Amino acid sequence: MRVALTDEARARLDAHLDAVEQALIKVGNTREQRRGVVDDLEAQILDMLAARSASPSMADVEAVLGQVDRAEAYGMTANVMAPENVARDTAPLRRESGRAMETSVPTNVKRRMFMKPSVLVALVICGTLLVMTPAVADYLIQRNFVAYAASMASMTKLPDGLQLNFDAHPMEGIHRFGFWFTGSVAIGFGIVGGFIAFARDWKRGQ
Amino acid sequence: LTIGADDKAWVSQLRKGLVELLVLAALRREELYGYQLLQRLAEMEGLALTESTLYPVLGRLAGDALVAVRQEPSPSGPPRRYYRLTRAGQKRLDEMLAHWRAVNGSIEQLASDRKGASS
Repeated sequence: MRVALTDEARARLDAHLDAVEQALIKVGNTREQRRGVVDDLEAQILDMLAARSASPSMADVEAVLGQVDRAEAYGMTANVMAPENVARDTAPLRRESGRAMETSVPTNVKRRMFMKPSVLVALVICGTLLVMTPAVADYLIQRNFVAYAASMASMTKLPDGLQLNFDAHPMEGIHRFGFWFTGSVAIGFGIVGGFIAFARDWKRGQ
Repeated sequence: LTIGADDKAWVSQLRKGLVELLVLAALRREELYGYQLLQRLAEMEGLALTESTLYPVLGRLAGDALVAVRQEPSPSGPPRRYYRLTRAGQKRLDEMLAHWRAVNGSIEQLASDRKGASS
């Protein structure tokens, strides 16, 4: 039974289908995907109208549109289905007509890591090494390690023209400060980042 | 099957996770068009889907070549899009069913162990 729609009813149906297409556009569906969904939906609505009457009234169209999902639901459902869009927050949407299954969509929010734990640990370790570097250098000079290395090098035959400089000088103040400052900043980032990550996890668990 | 309000969200989540499996399984034996598929699933207890869930999934399955689409004129209006399982879709369905059975079996086993332990 072919359905004969009035211009007004056809315009109302088209407006709904356009709204569905807009919702699908918003969540990044391709033209082909949109066309498929809208064609399926149009065929369904016309089947539902045909079951009511061969020449459905505007009231029939409104009744059928009240039974199908609202246009916004397509945007939300597409969110759930498209893995690349999973991060979007999707609040449940329920139809008032209360058909078999509501289109509730989970709040499937991708968990964003503030900073990976391994990065935080690496920051603290590297920072500690940097802070310790001047002290270690002083210790090596004190223990005549540089002189020992020089004597070892003198016993090794080096290629012509190659010279090694083993002059032991204590580290200059600006270099000490540079090591200390960089190391402290790295440790600070590591500790603060750890606290933030912990606080977020704790808050999420509440 | 009656479910409490607290379980509704869980049931909805479970069903959403199974949409692909439901669609592929429904198309296993016969070619169906969108609305027909919707009605077929609605006839089964606990499997009803809405069109905003089903049609985008059908589009995605078609894009992945797991289902093939054929258009046929409809007596009520625009052509209907008939969906059928492809060979790749059949293979995917078999894999999903195997996994589903394994998971279901494990859950059943856990539940029965617990029952045995509590009695």
